Amino acid sequence: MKTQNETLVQGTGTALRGDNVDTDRIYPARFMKRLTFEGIEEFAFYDERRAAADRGEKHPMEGAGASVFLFVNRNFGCGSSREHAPQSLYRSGVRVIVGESFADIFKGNAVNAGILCLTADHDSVAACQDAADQGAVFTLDCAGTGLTAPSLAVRVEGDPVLTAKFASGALDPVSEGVAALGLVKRQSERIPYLSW
Amino acid sequence: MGKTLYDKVIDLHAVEEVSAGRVRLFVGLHLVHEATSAPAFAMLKERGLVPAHPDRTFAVTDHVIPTDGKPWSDPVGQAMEESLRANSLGAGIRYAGPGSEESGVVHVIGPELGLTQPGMTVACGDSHTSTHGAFGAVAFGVGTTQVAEILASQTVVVPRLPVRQVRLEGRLPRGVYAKDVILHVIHEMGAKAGAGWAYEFSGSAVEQMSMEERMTLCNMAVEAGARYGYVNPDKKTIAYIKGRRYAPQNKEWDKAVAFWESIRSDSDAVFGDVVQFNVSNMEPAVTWGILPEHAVPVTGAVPADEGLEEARAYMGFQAGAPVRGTVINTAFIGSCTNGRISDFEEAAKILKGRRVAPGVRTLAVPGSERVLKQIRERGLDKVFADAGFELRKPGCSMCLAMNNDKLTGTETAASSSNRNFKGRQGSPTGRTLLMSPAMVAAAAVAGRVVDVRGYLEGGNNENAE
Repeated sequence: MKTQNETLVQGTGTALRGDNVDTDRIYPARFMKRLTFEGIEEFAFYDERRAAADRGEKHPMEGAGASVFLFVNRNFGCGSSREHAPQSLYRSGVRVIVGESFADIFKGNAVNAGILCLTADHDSVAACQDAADQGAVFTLDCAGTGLTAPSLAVRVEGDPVLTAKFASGALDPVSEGVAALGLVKRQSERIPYLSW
Repeated sequence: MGKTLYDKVIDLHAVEEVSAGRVRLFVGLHLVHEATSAPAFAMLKERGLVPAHPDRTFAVTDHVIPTDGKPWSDPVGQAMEESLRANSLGAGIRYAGPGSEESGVVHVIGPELGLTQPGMTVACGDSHTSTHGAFGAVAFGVGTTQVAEILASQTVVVPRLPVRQVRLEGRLPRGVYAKDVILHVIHEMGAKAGAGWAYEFSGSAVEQMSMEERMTLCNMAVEAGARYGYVNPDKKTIAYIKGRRYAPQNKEWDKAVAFWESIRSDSDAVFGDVVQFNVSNMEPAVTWGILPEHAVPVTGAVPADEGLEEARAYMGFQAGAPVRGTVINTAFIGSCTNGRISDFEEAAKILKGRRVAPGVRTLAVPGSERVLKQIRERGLDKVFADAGFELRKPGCSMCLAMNNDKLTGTETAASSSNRNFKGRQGSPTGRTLLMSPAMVAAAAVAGRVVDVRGYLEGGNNENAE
């Protein structure tokens, strides 16, 4: 994804319009019947894609494999804590989601799944969605605050620490947790109920 | 300056501040279930790690479990149960196997067993972990990688949030329950209002609620956008926990009570925001749409707003249609929202002396083996059987239909669960109407959505239509 020193991510995008896109739509529960995340990209927006095909339409996520950006509206990812939701998007090629707002649990899971969630205002998102429909190539700068495409420049916001982690590829909560085990022991000695 | 319960519990459990506004929290109780944990255990195995604190962990299979009392007919579900069993036993983690007396829906058994206690941090790979906040715990849902993080280190990194106090004042009218209150709150505030907040539910109405009602309230905080929802512990909380299997005892009991009383929000605590609702005039609620905020009073109608076309079309409603009279084919009482003994008691009051309408498929799914036992001990099983309402074995069941309990086609369910998203109950075109267990019981009898207040003792059914 890093093609030049000044870019963090570059590529085409997918416009997914509408507020409150919930985790059951992103990843229906019946596909959680498995023991690993292998192959789960097949099920991202499964029912929505089938419903669109039945209407003779093409869902935006159908064959969106090459697109690294996803442009969404408000409260994206509301609902379940299923990490299958951002994982299936990551495995479909998504690396950055730019939206008006995200649900808290989804946003936390996305970074662990390798996806950066950034926010932008409604008009900026709409402009990106239109440009994405035209096949524009988007460039996100290293700071993760400026998104550009031909004839388009929008400001995006994120947590600088998470953006830095995303940039360096250093997303390893398990190892970081293990590294903190000494501190954990010290803190746990101050928690009363642990000694009951 | 005084502190909120949330602040006190975060301060106590914060191992380190990893970056501005993000803390590594010790997890006092880690609940594990089969739908989100297998890849987490695999992540540990790959790195040669073992769980750091099996003693602070408890596991159960609930999402995929059959509720028909028959042996497994689902090889993948069975493999998930076996995987969790093997992983738990291999690590010394307590595991309540299917049918065992401690088993059931994870957010029902935690409190039942006295595992959930005030002042704890509680995490689980399930968004409705907020339920445990009813005990004055800081309880939250996490994803699979976070489950691995917690297994490996007994900690998880989360943002520290401001607290919004949601004051519920007044007295609940007859036929109006905690479920109706929270649906009303979600409707008024919107499904995303709680994003970035922890919710404290307080006020006279909350004080009057039982622990099970408080659990219903906190369970659905996440549907209001709030990952955390809690109630300050009080005498009811302490009385509920006393004597439960994993509750402190003897000298430790007294120390525990003192600790629990100390973590209540201070009277001079400062909240980031305060909102207030009066419950005294609330009505039974029904969701008509595809988001929990799409709720109306049972006497109300499907709104005509632009922007709701997709929801109306999916649910087959015309703008302005009254929700009363909506035909249902399925009635489901259960879930971590409303699968406890008081929920079945309320439903039984409505079913007593009545029969389920022809053509309505019914599922009464207890939240745990213990709840099922209580149902039988109180003779509620006979009330359900006499009414033709099918009592089943415990599990998450039709809340999200990961087992065989599913809708077919555009079947419409009256459901005591927590989400009405498109396709939620197992059919991509299935329709879910959320309501209280009493309302589900009344709908089952009528074969359509009715006002439960007409079915209460002293009411006659005609008033309900």
